[in-house]
Amino acid sequence: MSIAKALQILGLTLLISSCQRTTIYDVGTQTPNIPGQKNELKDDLQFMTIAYRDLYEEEIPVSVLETMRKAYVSFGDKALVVDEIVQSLLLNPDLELPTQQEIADDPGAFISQTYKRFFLRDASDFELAFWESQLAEDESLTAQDIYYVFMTSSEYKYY
Amino acid sequence: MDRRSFLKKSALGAAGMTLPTILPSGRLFAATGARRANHVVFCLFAGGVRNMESILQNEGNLMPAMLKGNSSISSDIAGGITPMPGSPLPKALQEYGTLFTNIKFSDGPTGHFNGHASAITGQHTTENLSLRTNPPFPTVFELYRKHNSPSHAAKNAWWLSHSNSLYPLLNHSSHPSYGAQYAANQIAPNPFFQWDVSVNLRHELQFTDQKAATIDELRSYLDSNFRKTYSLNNGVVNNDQDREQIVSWLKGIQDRVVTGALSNPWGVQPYMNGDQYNLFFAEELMKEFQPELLVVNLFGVDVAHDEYTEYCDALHRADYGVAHLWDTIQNTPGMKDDTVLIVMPEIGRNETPNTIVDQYGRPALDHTNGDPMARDVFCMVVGPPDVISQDSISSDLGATVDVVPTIANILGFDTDMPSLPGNVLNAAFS
Repeated sequence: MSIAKALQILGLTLLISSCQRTTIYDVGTQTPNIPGQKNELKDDLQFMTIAYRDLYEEEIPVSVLETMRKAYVSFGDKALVVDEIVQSLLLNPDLELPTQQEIADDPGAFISQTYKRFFLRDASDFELAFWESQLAEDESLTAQDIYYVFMTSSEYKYY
Repeated sequence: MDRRSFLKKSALGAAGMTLPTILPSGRLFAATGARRANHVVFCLFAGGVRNMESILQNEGNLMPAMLKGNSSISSDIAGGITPMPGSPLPKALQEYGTLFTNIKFSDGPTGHFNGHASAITGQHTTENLSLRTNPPFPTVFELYRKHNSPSHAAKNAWWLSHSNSLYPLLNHSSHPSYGAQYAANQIAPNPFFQWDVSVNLRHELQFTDQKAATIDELRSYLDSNFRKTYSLNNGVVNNDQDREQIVSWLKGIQDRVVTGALSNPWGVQPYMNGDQYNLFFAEELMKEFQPELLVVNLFGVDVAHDEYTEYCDALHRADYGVAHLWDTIQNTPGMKDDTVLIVMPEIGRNETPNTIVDQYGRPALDHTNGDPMARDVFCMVVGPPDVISQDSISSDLGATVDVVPTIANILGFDTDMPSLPGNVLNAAFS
């Protein structure tokens, strides 16, 4: 299924559901962590620190941060150098990534964990449906690919 | 077909369909104004250089590759001057052009950043110049990219800074009519190509054709779900095709760093200093991109604050490096015989020394606002004989802010850009 087709189906679902009676839940003082509420841009050090922690689940070693910072401040095309830094983190052989089999066994869980890991929020139903359709459509997509997409997205640049 | 091949073929196909006008010179379009040459390399011979030790040769000719003269180096400091390999040029660099001996850093604090900002923007600066943000006036890169017709991609304009602190800010201004969209590509190659970065910054995650398209679509999906509250400032922006070429170049250099192939590539004994490496990387960049506008700076001479003789040694090393740069230009297809090289310190140094004395008994030199000699510099403009007056000396009064209008005049965008306080160094032209 192409992305455009998936969006079309999701749009149709939205249209149908919007005609149904809406149930309103009282969430009290809980603030839902939706994308629009990420209002602050990560600065370069924050981005690198957070990226490392999101992938390796530990604080970034000073030497690694210094190398990344050196690369970042030494090159003018920041989008390019951030892309290189993300690649470097993803290509490190020490990084443990979900296998293709693990993704295939439970794509929903993989997507949910990926949203929490990088966007610090739950995936919406639409987002889950979209990504599950993509994983079903293209079995060559790896965890490395998906992580790369998330880490180079606009939302990941904000907190 | 991989992504790069696809992009190349697409570009070729598109070019074939649009059938641009090909001028007799081989260029696709005419620039706004008449060009004198199609490439300018501006070497900021920076760090603070006095005319006394450079063009006036008070310590003997410390710059034999650039300047005519055979006077031997002062005997008391000669032991501190590192012998360089023989000049790659058959004659002194000044013989390929015009030496301006009376150039002033006429206005503003005599600091390095002010000197750089003034030389790169063509505007006088004040003590209010911020060291934290881009300068308020458009840089020569922005003037070139905005006012040249046709406009050129960032790949054609490069700023190679000796340091990754402060000076990268000079690749574009904060001026509302210019800014990052007209910025130069900037790299501080000495730190960027250090071992740790070269080993760890990986480029292998390259997606080919269908996978690349899928990755882009998936990212577009994520981005479409996110409402951005700030516009991202990613610095200079390169298009996909140029970015691939830049990444490939970076990777090539880094591979050579990792294998040790770039350990002292010029064979300078016992080592190449930072200035020489910066010029070496400028040469590598020219070979790959043949940029129309390249600015590269040096900084080693600033050791003069503490060590006068090392300052003279740094001058001697920089002299060899600049000659090497010119030789490479003349051996680079696309730039040979079509490039003007401008060499100028950003500021001078004081006439009155400070109290620090080196092992050769020589006192050190600062650069302070109150000392007139800190405002005196030279400027050398060299180029093809049909463009640049050869083996010529001009004592006309000029200013460091004259370089930007001169570059604009050479590249033919001076007629379209706002007026600047400086004047074109017309005496340089044949």
